[in-house]
Amino acid sequence: MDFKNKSIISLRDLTKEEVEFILQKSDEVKSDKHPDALKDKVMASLFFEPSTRTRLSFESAMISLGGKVFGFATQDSSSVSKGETLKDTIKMVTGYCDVIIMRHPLEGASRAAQEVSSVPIINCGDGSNQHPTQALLDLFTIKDKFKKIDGLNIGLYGDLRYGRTVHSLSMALSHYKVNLYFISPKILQMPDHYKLYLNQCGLKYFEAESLEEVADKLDVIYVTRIQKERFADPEEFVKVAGSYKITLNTLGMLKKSAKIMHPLPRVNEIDTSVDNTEHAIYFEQAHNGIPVRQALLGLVTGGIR
Amino acid sequence: MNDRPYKVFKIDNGTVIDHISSRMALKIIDILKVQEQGIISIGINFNSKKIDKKDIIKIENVYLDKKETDLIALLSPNSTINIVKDGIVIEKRKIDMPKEIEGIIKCPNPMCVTNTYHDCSTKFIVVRYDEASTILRCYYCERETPVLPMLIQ
Repeated sequence: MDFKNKSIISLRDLTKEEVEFILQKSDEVKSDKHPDALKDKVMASLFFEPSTRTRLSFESAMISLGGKVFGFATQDSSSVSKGETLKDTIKMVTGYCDVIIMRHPLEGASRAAQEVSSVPIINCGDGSNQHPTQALLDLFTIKDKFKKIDGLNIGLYGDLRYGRTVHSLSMALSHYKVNLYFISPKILQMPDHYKLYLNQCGLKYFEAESLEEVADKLDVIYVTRIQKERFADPEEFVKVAGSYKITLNTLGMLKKSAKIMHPLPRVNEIDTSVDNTEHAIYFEQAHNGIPVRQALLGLVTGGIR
Repeated sequence: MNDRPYKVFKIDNGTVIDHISSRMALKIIDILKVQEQGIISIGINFNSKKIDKKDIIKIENVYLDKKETDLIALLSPNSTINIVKDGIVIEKRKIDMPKEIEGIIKCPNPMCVTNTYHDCSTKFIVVRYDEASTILRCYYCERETPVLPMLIQ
């Protein structure tokens, strides 16, 4: 399977075989089988929208396998603030690097960038559309923990309407025989077009408004933050956010083997007292961002085959 | 006074688009971008045996190709096309739904990249369609939308 020069824009573009291949290569990277895979490669890191985790983990991923990094962390420090179009910025940067990673507030920005780029582009989030590397590291974490993905009951919990991580993850999971449980307040339900996509893929999903309804079935609970700005009525936010919390009490409802994931940053939707339990794998999940992103960078630049 | 045989005059050369869903004719002219090509006769709300009320468009001296006339499927999938030369219909053509639509429809998502940069034109994939509606997915932002006349650029 040849990934050289292939851009990673959306889960929609990846076949199951390609997803599995990326997971396999990530596992090899994690076991130190590809040292120096990024030696002398240069990565442009273009963050038109700020990010902490994704940007730092990509930069760390690149440097620790021998690569070099340059770029900007906010739009203000780029010529975009002078009115340059995205495509012009990309055409210029492609001459300076072997791979571009980018986050942009506009949806479809990475796809548009790919059209004018002579080097591969990795989408690190385009508005509320896609975040493919997060979905791949989520899958990697699930597979790493359970040694399989097929047959698992996976609950997506919290803001399923605006959260791009749950959109990308549910698309990634559509390649597997899993049961999905969408647990969210009514106004933050999974958008219909994603449900339709999953239907077309033959994936079973169930919707619930409270975790209690389905807690004892779940192998994985993927928690996302409910954001205040999604609510017109601040009192409604306080009420809803207060009821979508994982605490030590919640853990009693879960299977002993159930794992709790979160794309981070966490605010208070998972109580810190949960962190030291065997259920919590969200920091390990964040750390898996390194091998998965190293594998992707290696594959698209040709350093890993 | 004699009855006029035609409400929209017969053409000897050009393209006739018939059985257009009622009141879509002007939007179809927008889609085809033929406003400035020759003489165009338009009939709206004619009685039709096939579809109750229909519109009709005749474009003189312009021979639209299949790729162009297939775009009509977005608004009126049951329209029919006749290509006329020297007074004779030389081709009767059906229209088929195109797989992709480039640059005709505006993405309704205000956060879509195509709504911000002038050098980023729109592109849609036809996801599914039936008699009542056609659903497109934006190639860029991946949002799905039904084809609505207001989205035609």
